[in-house]
Amino acid sequence: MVWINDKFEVTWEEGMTVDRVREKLKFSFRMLVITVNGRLVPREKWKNFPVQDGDEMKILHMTAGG
Amino acid sequence: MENRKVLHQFTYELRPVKRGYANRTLYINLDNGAIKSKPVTQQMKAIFTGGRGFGLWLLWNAINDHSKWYDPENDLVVANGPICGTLSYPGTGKSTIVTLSPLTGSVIDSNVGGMFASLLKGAGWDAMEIQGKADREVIIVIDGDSGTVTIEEAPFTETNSHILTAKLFNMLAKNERDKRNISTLTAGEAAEHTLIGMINASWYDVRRKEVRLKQAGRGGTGRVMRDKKIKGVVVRYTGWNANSNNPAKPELIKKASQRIVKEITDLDDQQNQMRKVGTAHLVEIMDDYDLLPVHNYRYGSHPEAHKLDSGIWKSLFTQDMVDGCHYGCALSCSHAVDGFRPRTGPYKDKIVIVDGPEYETAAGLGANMGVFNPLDVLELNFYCDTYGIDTISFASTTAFVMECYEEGIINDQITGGLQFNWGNANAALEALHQMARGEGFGLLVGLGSHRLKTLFAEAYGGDAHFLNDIAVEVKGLEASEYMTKESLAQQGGYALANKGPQHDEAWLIFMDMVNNQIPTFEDKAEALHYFPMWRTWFSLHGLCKLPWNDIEPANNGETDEPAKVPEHVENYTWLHEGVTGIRVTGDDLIRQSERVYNFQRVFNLRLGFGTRQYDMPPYRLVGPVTADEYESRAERYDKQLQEDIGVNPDGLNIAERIALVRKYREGVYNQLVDAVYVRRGWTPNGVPTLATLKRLGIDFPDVVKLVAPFQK
Repeated sequence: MVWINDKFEVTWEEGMTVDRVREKLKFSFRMLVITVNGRLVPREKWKNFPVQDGDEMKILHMTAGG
Repeated sequence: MENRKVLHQFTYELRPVKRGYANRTLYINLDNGAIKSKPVTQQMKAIFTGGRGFGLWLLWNAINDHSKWYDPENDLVVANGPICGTLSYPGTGKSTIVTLSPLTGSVIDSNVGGMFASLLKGAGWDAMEIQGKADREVIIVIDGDSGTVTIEEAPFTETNSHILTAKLFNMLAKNERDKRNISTLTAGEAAEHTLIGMINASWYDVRRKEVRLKQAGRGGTGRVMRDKKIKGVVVRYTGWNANSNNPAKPELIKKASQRIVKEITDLDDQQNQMRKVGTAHLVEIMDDYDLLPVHNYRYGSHPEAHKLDSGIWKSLFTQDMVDGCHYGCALSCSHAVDGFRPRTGPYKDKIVIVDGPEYETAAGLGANMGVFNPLDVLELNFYCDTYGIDTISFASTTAFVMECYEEGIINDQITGGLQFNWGNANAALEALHQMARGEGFGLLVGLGSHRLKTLFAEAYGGDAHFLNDIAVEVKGLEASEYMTKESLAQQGGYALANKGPQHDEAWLIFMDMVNNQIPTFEDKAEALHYFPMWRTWFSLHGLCKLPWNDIEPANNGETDEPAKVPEHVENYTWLHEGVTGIRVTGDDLIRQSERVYNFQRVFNLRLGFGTRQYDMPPYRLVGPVTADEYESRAERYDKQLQEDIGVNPDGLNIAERIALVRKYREGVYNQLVDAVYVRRGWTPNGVPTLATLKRLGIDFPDVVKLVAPFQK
């Protein structure tokens, strides 16, 4: 299992990446800051950055928008 | 001046703006033709800052405790603000309109882009205040080049905005280029007959060589304008430029402007693409997060939502041009569809420009009404604009009517044969045309949701409790187009808003529902203090909030409080000091807003509102009203029953589950309200305490007298 924002959980799968987690959660908003186990993952690495079973992620949506 | 019949004229001394202020306001009385200049005092600036603050103060002094929107003493105030017109910084062209609202019965503020605000300041005025009612159709012309203000007989029979605005520009402009120096306010035929009328502000689009329109949508301002028999207000001022505010420290403005413009240039494409599609980029995002209102806010997504997504709008909007509503705005998000041919109504088959749609319009006229043909959305958008109708109130009220029709509360006999099934754009368009003609069921729709829910219960036997649950309005104003069921903080953001549920006061859904950054009541209350104050600040200065948070620095996420966008707050402190010469901190900016915000809360109280009972949302904004809603997200609600309420849903029928979830959600909403009132320095009944008023310096004798009985 992968834990996100202390609120959401995604079933881990082999070869999981940051982008795959986003896809499973339908987090399509573009202005995101993402950390995996507290480590910042730059946007250009989302596609291939590996996510392990049990990882804790923060996917912060950077807007108080509307 | 041929063909222009001047009824009243006023001449005034031309003088430059100083540090962002013209230092006077324009007063016009249509009852007797009186026109005069009123000084802006130091106290006005110190307490009310400008913009919405000036509007509230002028209105406060114009009316009495019993005044209604249709009384002649009601003011229609249009104000700019000290930073307004700083052309090098994006989003500095907002007018704020303040008046007594036909919809809510209380005070409303509604802001709009275009060039009116800046040119009004150039013409010599920090605000324009119109009292009284004319005895015939008039226009008002403020000529900041010659120093004259005239009330004139309306020179044209047209009322609808896209025609009338073009005629007014042609009448006043010396040549094509001169149109840059002109802006107008107009409404439309439907604004005369409904309570959801709005005001269009204009600018001359130099690339299209056409006049364009933006809308002050909320609260029925257009109805007030037409009730005063004002067809249009024209302002002209030649030569407004980046230095026309005569700023105290131009270097600070330059520093802030260079930083934000570079940011937009570098990052907009990978962030929100405001320059390509504007706020309409949000449609598919809201759908993905179950936040797009569908079928009168029943659901948050729909399988056909992709038909209204940003790719569609991008293909319809004319691209490859700077498309801002205020000269110099680098964010330039004000897109339009060129060459559109309506298929209905008086402009059928004519070629017109559709300004927009913005997100609210696309979501409201689209998904919330179940309309998924973008061309239908465009046609509804066009007619709302030119007829002077608020797209949000129209969409939300029509969605409510559709649900009532689908539920059998109203029928063809009542609607005059209009079949308000979900997605029937033809019925919605015909209702709009009826509003413009002042006839038929459209007139009822134009009353807005608050009055309709009572009418449907009393005249047609509808279940009053159900109608109260599904009419998505608070304080008489229809909610804007976001789903709030899963964000307690945003339920407060909507229902606690001074004017009614409009997202320009607070939009906390991602912070709350997705980021989980404000988990406790105290966290949410802090957010419901800071963000409404922060967002109020834009309306004090004549600013658009989009450059604050629809573009963000690349490293914003690494800052301590990314939701506040600290670098942009710093920009605004530089702008404030740069224009006015007064150095401020971010906290000082919040304090400017607190004064005005609390004054507006007291203003609501003065008009018979402003207490806790008016801060309650309809249940549709809080949780599932119907079995369909519950069952569509049963996993979510059953989980809440188990985890938050401690009840096993097995063995409970849907009605029992709905009742338990409702009791819980209404309970936590009230706990939130308690926490917010404490944070804002209000009593448990939602009235600012005397200590709060004193701290903010708005403990005027009449204010203290008003709130004193409410201090228990």
